[in-house]
Amino acid sequence: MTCTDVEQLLGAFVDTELPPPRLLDVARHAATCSACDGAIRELTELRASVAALLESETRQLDLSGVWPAVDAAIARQAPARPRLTALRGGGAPGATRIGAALMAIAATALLLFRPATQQQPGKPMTVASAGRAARSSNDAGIDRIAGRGITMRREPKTGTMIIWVASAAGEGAR
Amino acid sequence: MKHASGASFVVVTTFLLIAAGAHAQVLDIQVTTVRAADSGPCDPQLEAMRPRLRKLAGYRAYQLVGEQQRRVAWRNTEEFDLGDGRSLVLLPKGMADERVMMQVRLLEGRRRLVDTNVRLVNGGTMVFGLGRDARTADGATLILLRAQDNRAQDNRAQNTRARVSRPQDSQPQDSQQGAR
Repeated sequence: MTCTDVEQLLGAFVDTELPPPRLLDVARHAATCSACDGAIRELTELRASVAALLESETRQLDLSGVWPAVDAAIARQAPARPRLTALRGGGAPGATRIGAALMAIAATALLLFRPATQQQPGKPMTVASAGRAARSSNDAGIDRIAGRGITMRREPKTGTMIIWVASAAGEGAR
Repeated sequence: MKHASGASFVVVTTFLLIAAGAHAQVLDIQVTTVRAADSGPCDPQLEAMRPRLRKLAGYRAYQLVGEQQRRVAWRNTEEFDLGDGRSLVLLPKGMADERVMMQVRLLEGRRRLVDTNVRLVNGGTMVFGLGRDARTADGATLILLRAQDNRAQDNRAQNTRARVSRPQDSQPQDSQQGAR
């Protein structure tokens, strides 16, 4: 196995996606080649830093306000409750359940067969459409990444990810 | 007669599903190249995106350099020329959990700047930023990559069409059967 072979298999090796004999071949080569060993270590560290970045982003999520907000929303809707109770009390319980089931089916059908709001196939996408897309969720996950001088940043609101690559004259990321 | 109308419905539905399946084997890719700078005018086409780009990249002015859109086949490598000897090489691998799984390589000549496997939400956009460049002395190049698989919504549309066309498709068959 040559250094070129290892370079091709580097990502899969670090992700342990190679079949065992191939994994062993790469490991054997790395044991005798400092350059490949260094590349493997570098990629492993990068992978760890990506994992750490994602973990820290997850930790930064502040969910403490969720339940108070839910409680507040329920409290705001409290005056509407007696009517529902009255409806339940006045009508046959079976009829209410059937009504609820029908509403659930209708909602599911609406969800499944709602008109497409995204780009139609064949219709040219424009920068403006990319802009609309940028306003929606752009969440991206990184399974593997290789390269030198890479930094990543994610916009929290839409999850848009930017992967910065330093070029010869320095860094572009702010 | 009921059997015949049922059979015709099955045939029509199968045809529609096959047609939907054949149409579904593609992915729409849009690659937009943008030049970012500290100062200068902003491209009107990018004006709406400027606040978001500013947050992401930190620059004030953005100029559209190029835009390419292609319909690519799954598991086929596709190369987008970005100019200046750079290219973006994509290998769409498949869909999982409403995300487009693909390998993305950003090359400068034969040099590999980035090689990554990403899971981008269907219809979502991700950005690659190339840092300060000696050739332009200032600013950066942004590459906006958008991927959309139309399979889910196409199938949904086809299913809806199949349901809507059921009475129309089956009635003539019924009348023919009845005439015999």
